[in-house]
Amino acid sequence: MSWDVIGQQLWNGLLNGSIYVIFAAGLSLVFGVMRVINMAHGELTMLGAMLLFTVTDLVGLAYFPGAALVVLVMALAGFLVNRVTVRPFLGHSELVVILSTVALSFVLLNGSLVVWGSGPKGVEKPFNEIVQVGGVYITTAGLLLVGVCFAAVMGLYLMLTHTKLGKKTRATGQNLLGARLIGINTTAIYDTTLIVASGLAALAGVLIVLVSSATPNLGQPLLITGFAVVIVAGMGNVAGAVAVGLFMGVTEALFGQFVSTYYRQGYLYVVMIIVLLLRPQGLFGRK
Amino acid sequence: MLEIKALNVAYGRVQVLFDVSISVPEGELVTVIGANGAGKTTLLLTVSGVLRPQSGEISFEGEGIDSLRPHEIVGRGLGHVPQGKELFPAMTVLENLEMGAHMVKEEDEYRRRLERAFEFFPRLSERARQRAGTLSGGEQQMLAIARALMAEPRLLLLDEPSAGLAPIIVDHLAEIILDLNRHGLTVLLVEQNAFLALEIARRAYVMESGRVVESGDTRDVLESDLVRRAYLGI
Repeated sequence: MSWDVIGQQLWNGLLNGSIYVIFAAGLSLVFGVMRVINMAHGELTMLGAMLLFTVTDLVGLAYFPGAALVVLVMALAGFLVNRVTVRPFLGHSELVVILSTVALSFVLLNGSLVVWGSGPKGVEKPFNEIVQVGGVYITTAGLLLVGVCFAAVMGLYLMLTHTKLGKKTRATGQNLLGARLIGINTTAIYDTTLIVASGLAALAGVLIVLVSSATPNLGQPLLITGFAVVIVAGMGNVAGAVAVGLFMGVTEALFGQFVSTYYRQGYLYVVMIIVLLLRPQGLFGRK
Repeated sequence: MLEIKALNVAYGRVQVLFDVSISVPEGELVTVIGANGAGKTTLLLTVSGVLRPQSGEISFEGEGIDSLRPHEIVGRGLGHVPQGKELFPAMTVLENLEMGAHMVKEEDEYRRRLERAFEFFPRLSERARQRAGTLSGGEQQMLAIARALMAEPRLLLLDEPSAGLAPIIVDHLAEIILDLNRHGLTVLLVEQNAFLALEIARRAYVMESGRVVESGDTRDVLESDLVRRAYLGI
């Protein structure tokens, strides 16, 4: 085996891993703060990609303003996701919220198939030079993807640890009743959490099109991978999801290259099962 | 200061409070005693807006608060130290206190309140950088009270502060509660530990199965047969 092949797979893994990181961070944020498993998270990412296709290809916006517009609109849509599919069902069994977000996921997926059809849609990239580093081929669009993912996750981390809103959000996640009794408006915190998570999901969507194409079917496999990442990291642990997302992306690429492309996604689940057997609370989770 | 009139509260179809009326005059320390399941915690959670009453009125400083949401009620100047403390376990002591004062915008004001909290609870300043979840039971109770005080409430609801604590720590807590009351804080103390409650409170209510069955001056309540038999064992 050659070092170039390993290097190329490390780069490919980094691209996928960056998407996993930003996707899982949003999924984990919602679970950590609200104890809600958002089954529609993948569809929010898919909508990000499809809407970007629409505003660039059909409306004619350039990539950057189009992406900014899509992320903004999808973030605001997070408010509706909370008010329509989550908030009315809180206080019932957790299963009810899971089912209502599953319902949303189906509505969005099938609605998108009707609107856009099932074929892949390419989006014009802002730049797409290929750079050769050693024997590894790197695209500038890929570099943009990695950079934006890390900036976004860093921003999320700083918001959660250094701003008052972020601290109130963490407090609400750690103890809902305690937060309410010291006067935190937890309804507003839940709204904001889904706004941020939905914006992050859409950001993943507009970044995915930098390295592959937009299709209404891209949300489902991403959700499955996202769950593997979140569970291995420990449910609700955002920082852990970042580390595990990267690890999963890179090792999955190496597995695909050297072991079996066919069992690539199976690999992630084998890792998940092993971690759950040895450490049921996840690698970074607390009991 | 706090007037509760003919309050009826139910969890689904199960009614828990029946026509409960309680009055807490400004500056006083009033206690509600009763066995486990008498409805004391339900009463406080309803005052805080976490639970909604079926009927009845709750007014604070002359204004009805029974339709307000919890954060609005806290904003009016009513603090609540819940049973079980409900701290933020993965946050430090300092962060828990900071959260208690989340509505304070000015840094100077926040510093002043923090200093005051540490004056009342010097132990907490030693533990400032420690995670709340790693504190002892007594320290957690102190942190829960200090966190509520960071909002500078005029009325403090205290739910079973003595639960699970060693007698010596309970005595210390009782002194702190008395001290806060002397500094002008009105207190509604709910307790299963009738000895503690009756020792420090001026007025007392006794609850049984969701109803107020006895009320009055602490001394009179102490004398009543019901309380002597049921709570003091004499």
